[in-house]
Amino acid sequence: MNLQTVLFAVFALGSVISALGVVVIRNPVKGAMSLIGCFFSLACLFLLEAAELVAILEVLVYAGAIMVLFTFVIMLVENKSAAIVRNTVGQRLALPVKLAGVAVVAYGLVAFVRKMTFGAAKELPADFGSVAAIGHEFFDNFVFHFEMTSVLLLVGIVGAVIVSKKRRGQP
Amino acid sequence: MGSYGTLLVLFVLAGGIALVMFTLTHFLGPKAPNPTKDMPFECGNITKRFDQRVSVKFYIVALLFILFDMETVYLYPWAVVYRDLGWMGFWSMVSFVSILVLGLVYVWKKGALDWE
Amino acid sequence: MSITLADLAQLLPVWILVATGLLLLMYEVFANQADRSHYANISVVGFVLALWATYSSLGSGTAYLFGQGATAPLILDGFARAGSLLLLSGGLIATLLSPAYAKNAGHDTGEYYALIVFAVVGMMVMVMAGDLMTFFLGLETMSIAVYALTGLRAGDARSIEAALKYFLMGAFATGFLLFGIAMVYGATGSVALVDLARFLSASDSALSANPILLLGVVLILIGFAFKVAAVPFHMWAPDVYEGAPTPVAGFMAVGVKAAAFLALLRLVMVALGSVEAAPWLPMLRWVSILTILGGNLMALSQSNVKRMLAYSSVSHAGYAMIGIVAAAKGETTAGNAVLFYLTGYTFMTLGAFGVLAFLERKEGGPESERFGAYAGVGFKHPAMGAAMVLFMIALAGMPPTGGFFGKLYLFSAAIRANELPLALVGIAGSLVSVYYYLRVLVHFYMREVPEPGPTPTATRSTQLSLGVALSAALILILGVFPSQWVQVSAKAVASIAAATF
Repeated sequence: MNLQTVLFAVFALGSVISALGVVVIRNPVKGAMSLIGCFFSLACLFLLEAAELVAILEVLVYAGAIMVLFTFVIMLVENKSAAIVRNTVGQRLALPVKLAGVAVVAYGLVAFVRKMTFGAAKELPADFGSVAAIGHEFFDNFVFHFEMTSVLLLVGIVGAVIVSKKRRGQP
Repeated sequence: MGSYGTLLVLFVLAGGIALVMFTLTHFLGPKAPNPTKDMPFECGNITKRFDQRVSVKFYIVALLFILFDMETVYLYPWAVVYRDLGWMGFWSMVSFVSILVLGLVYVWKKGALDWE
Repeated sequence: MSITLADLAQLLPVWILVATGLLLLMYEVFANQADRSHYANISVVGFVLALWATYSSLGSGTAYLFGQGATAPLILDGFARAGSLLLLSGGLIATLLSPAYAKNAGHDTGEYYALIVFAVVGMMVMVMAGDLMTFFLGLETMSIAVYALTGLRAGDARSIEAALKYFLMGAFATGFLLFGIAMVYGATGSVALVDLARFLSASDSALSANPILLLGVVLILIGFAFKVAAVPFHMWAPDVYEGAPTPVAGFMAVGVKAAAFLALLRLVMVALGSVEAAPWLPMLRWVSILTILGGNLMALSQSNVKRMLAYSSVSHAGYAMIGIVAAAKGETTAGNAVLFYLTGYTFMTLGAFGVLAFLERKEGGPESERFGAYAGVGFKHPAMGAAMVLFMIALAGMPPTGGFFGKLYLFSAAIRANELPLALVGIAGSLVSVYYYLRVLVHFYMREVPEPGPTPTATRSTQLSLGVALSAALILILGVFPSQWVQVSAKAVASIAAATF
């Protein structure tokens, strides 16, 4: 077992456990922290796969930008007023069924992937996944996609403003 | 992979120190919670209950923040390879940013960034 | 790779539209807002210029832009140009139908027209796309613009509900599509359509050895089915068409559908058609059958005219899917039939929604959209009534309209591709549809005008009349002189086949 495998195990476990934490923990601030832990573990997993830029973006966009929004919402609402809804008997009974369903899907996915025959792995260039390599891809081969993205973002901006803004004749 | 070894050491150190500090305060610090202490403070907003609705203003600011944040996603790799790209790369980014600047002008003049 | 000015000049129609959209946005925030009638005019000028630029380049050869050879992200061939012509006319007519309606509904803003323009940009990119990423970007640009347009009817809960439903379902569909694209990329190592074609035709076991590729293609096809509202992925359509502003509903019914079908046609003709007895053929065939039957049967029981038109547009997606199945089996005339059919469908549906927009009252509400609310309007507004007769006849697929030839070409292509059952289902569906299309006309002409009844008071507008007249003229021209457009579209579809390898 080399270092890479050990690190993979650590971060994979970390991401699964912190993701479970987001679902299970009732305190919203701690849940958000757990989510950051999940993003962070994922970023490390990407790094292990030599996806440098993706790892950085994971931290920059998800742990940075999206988590700010989450904490913003948490800040806006009071912490203590959430009434804990008791699970009904039906919900309690449904839990094992749901878990079994998850297990079946997970087993199916693993079986599906195992059945597949992958072609011989290609030799990747030395700087594969680095920021510079992706930058070159972007601006040499995918320059149209890049420019089109600006139009897409602009449409998103206009759409967001027009749907949410007050209209004439409306209070 | 090798170059990230140092980064990993940094993260382990930083995380370790934070963890030690939190654990120490947890066990050593005095605790006397009361409702006033539990309230969020100095955030400029009156908090709302979970079942109240939050004004749409919040969502529009949040959405615009994310949309403009996407720009950095592209600026970052561009900045790294900027010297190799030459004028082509420069003009690609100029046209990209200028469309989004027009978007910003639109949002600004529309008053979507005004809180009230 | 370097980009030459000549390359950029090829994309002139797209630049014109982007500039028009930006101009509209800037005009909205900077200019004096007292006079709002300029927005539609600016938009119309943009569309006409783009149409002219596309039309004048119709004869030129295939251009590969922003890349090398057939793997380029944008392939500007005859098919892309003819498709753009269709999509631009759709956008133009939808814009013409809008001003009076938008004024009544309180959304006559620059953004409204800008979003239509940007949606058409997205559609054109979809039709030109040489790889799946470009296609995806075009699709998203179009979809996000249309989601926003759906929710614009001020203070109408149905509009908000429609926008939310459409957005959520559309986001799902996008997820399927993107996941599928990722799997195809993982299996083949490229997003370009030609590379997928090469991979599929390289060996007979390309698919069976690669379940992930098959899964990817199926997910992409499911994404398409969502976008064109094919059964069983049609559930959002009636609510969305009912809730959206009427001209937008028309624009959605034709633009989104035409762009998705044209892109699907390219995908099928370039890549998927090269597989003999492909596993997705039965899937497409069943989707087609279910969509024709489901759309027509559900349209029968509608009491709201807009919902009826929504289900009718579902059933038309089924007819167009027949052509896709035939094209996937390698039938050469099928592509031409699909393009011709979509052209006819665009004008007749836009026209019908245009007449509804004309008759819609300011206070609106679901009551005013029932069949009964249109009693006797054919006599009150003879010109609009006559136009509606034409559109309903065309939608039912009867001569002398473009709707008739569209169905004729589709069904004969299906028969040539040994898909007789599909053609029979299509004919049966068309027969059923006659009932509910004529039902509109029965209310228009054969019911007493209630005194002093709730007859819709019309919104008079030159642009709207022009839009309806244009649709009516085009649908008649397609029906009386089909050969002109058939030749153009045959050449267009042949240009895909020629450029494949």
